[in-house]
Amino acid sequence: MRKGLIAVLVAIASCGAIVAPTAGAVEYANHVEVGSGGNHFGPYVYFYLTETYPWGTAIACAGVRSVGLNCAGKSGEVASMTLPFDVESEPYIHNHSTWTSYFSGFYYK
Amino acid sequence: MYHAPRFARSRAGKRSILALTLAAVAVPVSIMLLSASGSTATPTSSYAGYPALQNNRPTELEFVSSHSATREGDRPTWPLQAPEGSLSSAWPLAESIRKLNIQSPNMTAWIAKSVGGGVCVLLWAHQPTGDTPSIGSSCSGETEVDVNAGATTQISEIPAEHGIVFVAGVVPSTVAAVIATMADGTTKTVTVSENAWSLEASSYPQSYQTIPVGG
Repeated sequence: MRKGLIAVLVAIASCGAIVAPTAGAVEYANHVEVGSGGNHFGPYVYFYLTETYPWGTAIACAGVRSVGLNCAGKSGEVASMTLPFDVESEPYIHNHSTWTSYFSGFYYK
Repeated sequence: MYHAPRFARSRAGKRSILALTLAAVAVPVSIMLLSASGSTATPTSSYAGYPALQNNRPTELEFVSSHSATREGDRPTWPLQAPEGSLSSAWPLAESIRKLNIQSPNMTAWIAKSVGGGVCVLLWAHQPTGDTPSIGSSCSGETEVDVNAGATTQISEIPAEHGIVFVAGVVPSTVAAVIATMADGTTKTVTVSENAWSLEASSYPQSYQTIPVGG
């Protein structure tokens, strides 16, 4: 009985460890709609890395305001921009597709 | 005499059970191994078209265990580990990063394998002194077809270099040149050298076309 209870607790703890959010990544946009050529800006924060995930066949760009913008060369690929140190700025999503698309954006601190 | 047939049946039964047990173990294991060699695992041959991944050129990129909390230097760095919490299998593996031989003096680019088995290109568009150095990266998908299509990354919006788009790409050694078609319909043809190509433009190219070796 006790062994069974311990096994159940270990299993629950393992599941928790798998799905628990990690400290480094912050999702600032989830499945946001961005028009062709448009931007979606995140919060003004300290961070060193940003990633943009496209949904479907969109062409994604990951930007850091006042630093630069990086666009993937092909539709459906993740774009990222990595800095050597923290900056205080806004991560942003840019839609490089010729159609309205959906994106998720993350920054890392 | 009476017990002999029962004994024989018992031994035969045990053999049957053993055979069934072995089959029960062997079949799922075989299925697992076969499926693993399919879509998820990338065969080593996927990178056969990218000898640049094997070059011994100095990377000229500092690898760091953690990023700096304060502004330091004018050159980019790269994390030794994938960022904590990243969902992407399209993250360039630090140990696989190799410097590319591109001709533009205003850019430095690297090739890498991705965590998921794709091929990546990393680009540093040299920023003026005092601006924040950054590396843009993009990776192909994980299938052999994706890897053979290469990867391209495009950097713009650098404050002191407004209006300039820096582009770098990697393609397999079967590609001789890349043609970029601009918004006004004009084209730029760039030759591929050691899997790499690059260009600077005043606007984003609209599309890219590859020209095979001998094509």
